[in-house]
Amino acid sequence: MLFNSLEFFIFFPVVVSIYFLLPVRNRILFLLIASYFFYASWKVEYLLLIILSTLIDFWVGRKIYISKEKHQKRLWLALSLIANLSILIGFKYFNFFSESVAEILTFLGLSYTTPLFNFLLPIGISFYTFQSMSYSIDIYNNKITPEKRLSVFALYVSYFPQLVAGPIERAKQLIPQLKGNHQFDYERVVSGLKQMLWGFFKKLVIADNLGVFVNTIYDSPDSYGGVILLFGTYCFAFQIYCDFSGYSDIAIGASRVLGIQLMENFKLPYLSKSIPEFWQRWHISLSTWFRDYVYIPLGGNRVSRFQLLINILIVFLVSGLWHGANWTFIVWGGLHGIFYLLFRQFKSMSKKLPKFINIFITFQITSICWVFFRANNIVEGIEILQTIFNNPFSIMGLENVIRPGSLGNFLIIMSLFIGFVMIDPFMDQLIKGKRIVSNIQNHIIFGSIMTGIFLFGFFYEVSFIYFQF
Amino acid sequence: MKRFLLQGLKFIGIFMIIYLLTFSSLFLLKKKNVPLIHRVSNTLLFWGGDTYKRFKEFDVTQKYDVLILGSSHSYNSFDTRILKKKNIRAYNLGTSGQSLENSLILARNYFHEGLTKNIVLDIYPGAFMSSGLESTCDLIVNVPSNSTALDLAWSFPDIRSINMLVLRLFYKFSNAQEPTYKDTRYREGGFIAMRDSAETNIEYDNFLQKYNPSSEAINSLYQIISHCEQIKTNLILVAHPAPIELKNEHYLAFINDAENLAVKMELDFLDYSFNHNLNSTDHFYDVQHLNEAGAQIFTEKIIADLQSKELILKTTE
Repeated sequence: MLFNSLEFFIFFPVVVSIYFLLPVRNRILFLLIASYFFYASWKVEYLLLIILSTLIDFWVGRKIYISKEKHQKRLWLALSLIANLSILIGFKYFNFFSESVAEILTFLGLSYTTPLFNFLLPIGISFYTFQSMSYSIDIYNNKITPEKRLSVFALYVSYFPQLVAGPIERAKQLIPQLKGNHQFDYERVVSGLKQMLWGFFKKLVIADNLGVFVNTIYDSPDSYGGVILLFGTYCFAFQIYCDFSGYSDIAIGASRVLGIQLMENFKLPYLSKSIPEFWQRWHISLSTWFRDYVYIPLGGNRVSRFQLLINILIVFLVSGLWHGANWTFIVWGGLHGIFYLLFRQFKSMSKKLPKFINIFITFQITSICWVFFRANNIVEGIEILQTIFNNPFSIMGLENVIRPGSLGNFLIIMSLFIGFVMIDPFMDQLIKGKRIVSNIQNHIIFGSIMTGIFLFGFFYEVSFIYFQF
Repeated sequence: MKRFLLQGLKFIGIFMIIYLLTFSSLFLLKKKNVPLIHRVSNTLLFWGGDTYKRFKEFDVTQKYDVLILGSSHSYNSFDTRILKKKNIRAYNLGTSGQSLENSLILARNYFHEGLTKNIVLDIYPGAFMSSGLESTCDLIVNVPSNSTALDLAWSFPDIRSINMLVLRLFYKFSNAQEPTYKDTRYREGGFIAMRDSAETNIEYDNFLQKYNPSSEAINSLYQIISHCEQIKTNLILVAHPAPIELKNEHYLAFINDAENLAVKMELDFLDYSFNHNLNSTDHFYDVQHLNEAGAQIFTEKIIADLQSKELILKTTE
């Protein structure tokens, strides 16, 4: 079930109404059933994977906790990691690894028949396996104690607002909230609904409208000159931001309506003054996951300078691979790793520059990296960058982007986009309660946003980009 | 909760005022005499054009030999002028992207017992897969009947349907007598003549569409069959000619499905998909639609076939 589908507009109010009408003791089971229904509406068979992952980590979590010896704890933890990573690798990466091996062997002149699995990638697999794994790791590190009730843990893994695209929550934060007695609170519910509305605006009005230009340009990049490719890349930078942060806003808002606060996932990332800062503002739940469960176990900052460099690169490469089973994502991650290290190295130099220059440079670098994220393959990504740098003033292919008769539509979308860029910081503060406006001002602001969705929204049930991860 | 409901109502009131003000502004602002509201979304369709004319001219008090339903293939393929020449009373109610759900609503709203002897339903793989958005929007703005427009909006519960209904109301209340948008390709009886010919360098593989029939579309087809039985009218399924280059496993799967369905429901199914001698460039104006020359040959052929099957009587020109 997509958030931007009619089914969700029926599902959500029904779930919220029943949730608040039910006695507290029945709410967890009800939310669990609702979450399983939400997920099963995609493909009922894949529910088994979530249930399998849930059962393994619930059981292993207890075993880790009751084991006396360190090596026993370690063995149980290994079981949890192997089980979750096997699900993830089996469904998401097997074909990629298999094809990559075949390519290498073919290159070496050896014949090899590629075994391939032909099944759909289970939606949100990277999110819920990571969330489930972090539970076992946290028990192993004595950060939490295992949950006693299977239904609570199952809900922690499958909680519908954040099940398919995060934010990736930690057991310590989420489980106590799931068990809480949340009453209908006017201020909280309205604040959640406002965040959802803003998320829908970002997704339906900005991301999906920009997506039309991005798809046109990136479907045949060799037909376009530098200006158009750069325009398409900038459009993609905002498409993916609005798509993913829009999803996060809907998820966080929906959860807040139920009384459960999810972690913040985006903090105006394109206002970052450096790449390290960008990663403190972009997909925060994933960055902190990698920090806590990969970077710190590798030694964190307490290693030699060379080892630190390697560790940072490993984290970024793995993060790239997490995004998708394609070399383009690995290159994207690798580039971010390199720029991350460069920014660390030249930190003092960038401090001397005006703030807006740093923001500008950081945005250009993230945009360059997005080329590989969006390109169909690495060669295409390189060719796009070559065209941008070699023919920076060419407007070849402009007529395909602004078709005859569609200039008005183009100008309206661009006006909406520019308007969005200008009000995003204000809306961010308003949504997070850092700025207070009167009731009537609130109605006018959110009434205008809803009008924007009604009149300019792109209603083709376009899936969220991060669902594929 | 009381506060929530009160504030919710206040919010809805304010939203409706902002929505209507924005809509009015975009409706009143015009470029080349066409309201700007048409520019804001590629789904807000023009008031006017072929659909408007087709339904305005359609006379439900007449008696017909054949009424045709379907997509743009239908209004480009069945040349009603040739049918008229042969004294066959026919009318083409095909509209762009018409889905089977839309055809069902049109059949229910317009086709009553005694109106016509035969209904030709033009089908192709897309008809079994289409969501019908394009056609629903087009019809909501352009059909003369308010109840049909409401029926269509109800069948496609989507914000765009609401926008279309609002647009329809704006036109009604703005006292506009005739739409500003005319379609010069429209001839008569619902037929649209395309004079161009397809380019010779089309890469047909780029237009390969995986055949994936939707249960809603198939269900609508069953309901159309049931409606035709109720109004005692003969339903004929016709698959229009397609360029031979589109012959692939997906298209053949569709033909197979249509044949099975026709056998199961005891319907006449005339399959011209690849049973024709039409040339992919001379008789088509693009990758899949017939041009005027192609439509002429096809219409002559289908008339002969319908007559040989005694579905319509042989008449003198």
